[in-house]
Amino acid sequence: MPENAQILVVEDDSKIAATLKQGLERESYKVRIAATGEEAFFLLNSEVFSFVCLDIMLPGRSGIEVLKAVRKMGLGIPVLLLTAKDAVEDRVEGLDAGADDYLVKPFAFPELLARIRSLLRRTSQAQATRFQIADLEFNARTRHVMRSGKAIDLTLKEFDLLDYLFRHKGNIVSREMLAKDVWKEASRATPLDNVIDVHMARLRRKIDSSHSQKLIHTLRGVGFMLKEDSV
Amino acid sequence: MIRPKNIRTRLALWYSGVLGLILLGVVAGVSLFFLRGLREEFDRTLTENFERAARHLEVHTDGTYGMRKPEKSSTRDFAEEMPVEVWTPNGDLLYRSPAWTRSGLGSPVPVTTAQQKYAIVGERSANERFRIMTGETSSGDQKVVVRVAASEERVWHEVKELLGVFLFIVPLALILAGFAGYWMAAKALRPVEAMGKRARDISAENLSDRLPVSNPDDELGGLAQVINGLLSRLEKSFEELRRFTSDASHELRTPLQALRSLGEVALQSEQPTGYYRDVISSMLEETDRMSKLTHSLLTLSRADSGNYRLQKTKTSLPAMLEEIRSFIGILAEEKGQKLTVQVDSEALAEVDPVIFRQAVVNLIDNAIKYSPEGSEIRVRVGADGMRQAIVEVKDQGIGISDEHRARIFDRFYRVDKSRSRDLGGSGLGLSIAKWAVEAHGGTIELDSLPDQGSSFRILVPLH
Repeated sequence: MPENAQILVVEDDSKIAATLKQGLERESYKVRIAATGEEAFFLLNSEVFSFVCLDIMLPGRSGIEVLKAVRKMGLGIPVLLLTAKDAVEDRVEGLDAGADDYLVKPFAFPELLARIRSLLRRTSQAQATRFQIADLEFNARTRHVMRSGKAIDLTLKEFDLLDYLFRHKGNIVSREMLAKDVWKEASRATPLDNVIDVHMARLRRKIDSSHSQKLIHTLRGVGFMLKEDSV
Repeated sequence: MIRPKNIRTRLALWYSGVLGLILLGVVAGVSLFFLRGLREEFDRTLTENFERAARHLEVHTDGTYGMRKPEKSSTRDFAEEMPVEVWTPNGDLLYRSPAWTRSGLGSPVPVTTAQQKYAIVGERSANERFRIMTGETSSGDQKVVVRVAASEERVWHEVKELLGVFLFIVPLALILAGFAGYWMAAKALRPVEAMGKRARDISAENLSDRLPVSNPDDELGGLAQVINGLLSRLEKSFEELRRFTSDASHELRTPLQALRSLGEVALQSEQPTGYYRDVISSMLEETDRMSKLTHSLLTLSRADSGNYRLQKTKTSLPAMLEEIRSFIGILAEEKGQKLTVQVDSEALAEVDPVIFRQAVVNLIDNAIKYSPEGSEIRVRVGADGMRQAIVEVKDQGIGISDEHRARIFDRFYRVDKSRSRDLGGSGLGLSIAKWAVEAHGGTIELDSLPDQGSSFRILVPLH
């Protein structure tokens, strides 16, 4: 994955734009900001980007118009729509116009990172089946999980959770991401968060409880992370 | 055609128009009847005159015909006053009285053409209407035809006089009727005007106003009541909307306050990094709470707009319940509760799986949250004949008392505010469940006895 990929963030709220820029730069992306559709269009014509985060509600030309223009120009760069509207029609409109993915505001920053990562590597990386972190080994194909050479028995959901954590190793995984990607729930019904927490607690008990080195970390208010050293 | 703008004028015009037509008929009828009566009378006199003429007919010695002179000079000369003609049956004129010559009748139709023995026909001279009676009589042994004429002008004069009276009365009646109609229509429409005036003043701000009901039994009163009913319903939904908006603002205010306080306190003085981490985490938790709340609010607002399109498919409810059990069962497990699903019968219902599932999940989640550890939550699913499916969620919790039962499905209504907030409840779960079930044409019922548990029952049509 090109870590120094240049990302265009089209967002009219300056506070959000500045925060996104800061956060993305910390992940070693290069970031340019456009506050209007016209500016975005100008930048897209004059520089090379490998990713676009596009707000739909912009002053002047809307994000959808910018998106359509980009696709008309024949640019195949991945476009992630940021939208405050989450009605099905709005999503369909965006995807029809050529967006690769969408995120509904308010979104979690870790999720934005995950989406960018997945869209950037979509073409390049093949699906890995074997992972390892510290002394934890994970085989997605044979469904074997071992810690310090001892096999660990996981339920289906715990296995899916660990699989997901491995695929986002070193990155934060939010509850929204788990709800959407592991539980396949479009709407975040209230009990789902509790369900996720219970499963996560049980998984952690099985993986970490008898070891001094903890691998699954909780970032309160943000999500979970699989990492060797403590956060 | 020009149509008068207001109903009042239109009604008055119609009223006079119809009355005018009726009067025209009446006038024509009366006049004809009158004319006929007068004519009958007239013809009787004419017949008498004919008979007199026949009696007075005499044949002079020279063979000419004439009328006998009256014996006394005081009586009037018949031949002088009465237009009389005498003809042979072959149509030769035998005698014509001076009065006939004066009348200007001239010499009408030859007598022979008369079909009947006696006939009375109308005839006109230059400026007078006559009636002529023609008949056969005999003078000696000779058969002759006698014609007697009389001016009908008096009859017509009387008819004209009558028409003159009508001509004066009818327009007067029509004008009076028009005014009366206008006045009556105005009187009848006065409640409408009053209603309109009041209705103009009613807006979202004073929806509690009602239209005046003049007479609840008549049509306009009925209309006013119908409109008042409409206003009541509008007022109710406006009130609900207002309460919802204000409740929602209050609900958002709590996490906002938490966010603000956390930030303000954190910046009060220099603190170690760990403290800031902690504060930011707390703030993020509050943000999460707010996003979930806005998500629920949007769901409800979409539901309120009434154009939520359900994506219905044939769904096995027992299979759905089994899936829900494996999804949410872990929460019951954590509390040492037993969650059982009893399938009474297969129930294939035409539902939107996402929306309907949410209703059931909310009910079961509620049961788990508000039931003590170690208790049992029983879910039953089945079909009641061919018509409706039943999903029942029964817990052994504290139950819901009567005072809360009526409002338990209201938005943001919570039996125990602080407890619900600690458990992460938004106070919207049951109202979302209720909407989801009702959107499927079903109902949701609650049976509850304090301290013995509650039982929520969803009834939804199979098709």
